[in-house]
Amino acid sequence: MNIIISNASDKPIYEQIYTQIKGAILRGECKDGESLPSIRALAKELRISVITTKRAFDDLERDGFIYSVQGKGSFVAAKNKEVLREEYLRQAENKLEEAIELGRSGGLSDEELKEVFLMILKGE
Amino acid sequence: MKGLLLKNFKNILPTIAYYAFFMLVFYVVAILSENIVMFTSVSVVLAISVPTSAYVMDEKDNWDKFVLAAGVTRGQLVRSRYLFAVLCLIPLWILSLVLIFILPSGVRAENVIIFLLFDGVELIMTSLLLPLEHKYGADKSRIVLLLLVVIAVFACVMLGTLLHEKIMSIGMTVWLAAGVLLAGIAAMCASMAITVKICAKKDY
Amino acid sequence: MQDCMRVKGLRKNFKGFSLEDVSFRVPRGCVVGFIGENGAGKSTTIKSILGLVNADAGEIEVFGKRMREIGREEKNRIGTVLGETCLPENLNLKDLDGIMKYIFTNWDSEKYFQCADRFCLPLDKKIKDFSRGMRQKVSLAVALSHKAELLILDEPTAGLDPVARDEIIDLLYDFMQDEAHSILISSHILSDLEKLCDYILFIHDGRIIFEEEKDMLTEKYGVLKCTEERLRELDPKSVVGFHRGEFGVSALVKLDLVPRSFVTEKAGIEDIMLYFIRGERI
Repeated sequence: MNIIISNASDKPIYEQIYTQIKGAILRGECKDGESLPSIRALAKELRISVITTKRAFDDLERDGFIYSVQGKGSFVAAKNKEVLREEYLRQAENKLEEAIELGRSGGLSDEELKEVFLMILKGE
Repeated sequence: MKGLLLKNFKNILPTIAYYAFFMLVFYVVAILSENIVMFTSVSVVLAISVPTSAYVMDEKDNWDKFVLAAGVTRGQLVRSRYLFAVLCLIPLWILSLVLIFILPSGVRAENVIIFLLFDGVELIMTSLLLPLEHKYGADKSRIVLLLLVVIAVFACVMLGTLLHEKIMSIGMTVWLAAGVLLAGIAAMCASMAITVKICAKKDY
Repeated sequence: MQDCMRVKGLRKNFKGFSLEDVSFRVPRGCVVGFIGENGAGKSTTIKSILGLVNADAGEIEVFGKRMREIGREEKNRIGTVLGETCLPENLNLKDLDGIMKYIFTNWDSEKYFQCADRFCLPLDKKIKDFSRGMRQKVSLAVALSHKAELLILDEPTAGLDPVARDEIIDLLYDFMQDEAHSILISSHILSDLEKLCDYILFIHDGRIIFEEEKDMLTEKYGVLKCTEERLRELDPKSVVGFHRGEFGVSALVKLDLVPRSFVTEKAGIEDIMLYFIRGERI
């Protein structure tokens, strides 16, 4: 798994870690139950603070991507298909919402947007 | 305490050969001239310069800061300095004592007086010097040190003259010398208490 | 989170300088970066904690006990590096090992020689022949070799080149692999702290300006560049300080008080420090 931190990025560092680990899990690069590097080891490798790393891991755990065992570290949570589906659905929804907003602010009618949507869906 | 003393000894170790040579030369001179003053005078210089140079090194090394941060108390630090000064004196005293017995002219009261007197002077000077060093630093105390040596030597010479001209009886002089030694011991105790107080107030 | 160290109401008066009511904490398992100008009171604070300076007032707690009441053994659980090297220069590293055995109750010779080896420090050479970087490493090797749980480091990277600094930071990261370990580190070199620290403790003119989680700082503050008129539109409370330039002003602002229409840039610790100290107030 690769994690690349950019200090120039607008995104906070914990968010960068969160997105990249989540991505790796969703893409199946990390297998169920695989152990993740410890928070402190990762902090050292990435040259960031422990709290920053911890925050990313806490968020990942909250969202069900990883689980941690006291004294043993963190592991990739067994993939719950439903959770994954929900996650993708949520992201898709967000993108669609964005698209609709963009369209409306550009003066397109809902009918026109629907047409575009169906057209893309059909693969034209 | 052990660590503090060990550090002092290791610190002065490189210069010890130089001191030893110095001592040897005057030891021989003392034997040849059958006068232990030759050796005890040098002892006074050594008794003061060895602990002083150890202190100067500590000052340069910021050693006090280090050991205090390491949990050594200020009291322990001060006591270790006094102990070190006394430990430096002991070999000198033993050597002078041996000298009294091995001189070809046999054990003479004059030499015993000198022995007692100089021991007392060494103690008094150490007890003056250590509080000064802790209060004002080794650099400023050095001038005082020089002054002290001059006064001490002058006092000893005066006493020697008195003795020579038989103004005082031998018996009385022995008592006087012993008194100086006792005063030296008392001064050391008082001086240590003062230095402990000085250091308690000090900001390192 | 449990606190490894707590300082409350620390005061010390010197001629021309005083520490005023310094309070902060070092949470267990965290690194606290102590920043401020030269003479702001970092070293005095650290020395007061360690008992090298007699504070006029204040309460210092370490490992849940009052500092004044802890014994030698517990004080040995604190490792220190105090700016300039505080070790006998006439000795070599082997001699030093022999002495430290008696100074620290928990002295770990093996660890010490490992550290020396890792830093490539010669064992037979006198410390006075070492470069500044090497001396600093010796100090750190000693601090790390008596089973310390808390490191108090005053400018451990001062005067070192970037490579040596990086090695020291690396070592500190290693130390922090243990969750029970904590560090209070003061430094001028903010980039070192920017990486390592969980919290930033900022002192200015003998007073603590803030102690804040480092990530929060960058979320809380931003740098705004605009015209002076536009800056005046803002709530004065939202502007920490600003610099007037020939072509406009730049200001450190509190992001939660600034409307979205103002575009801000990320503020680094250095920006934050500079605006707090030198920025003009509205």
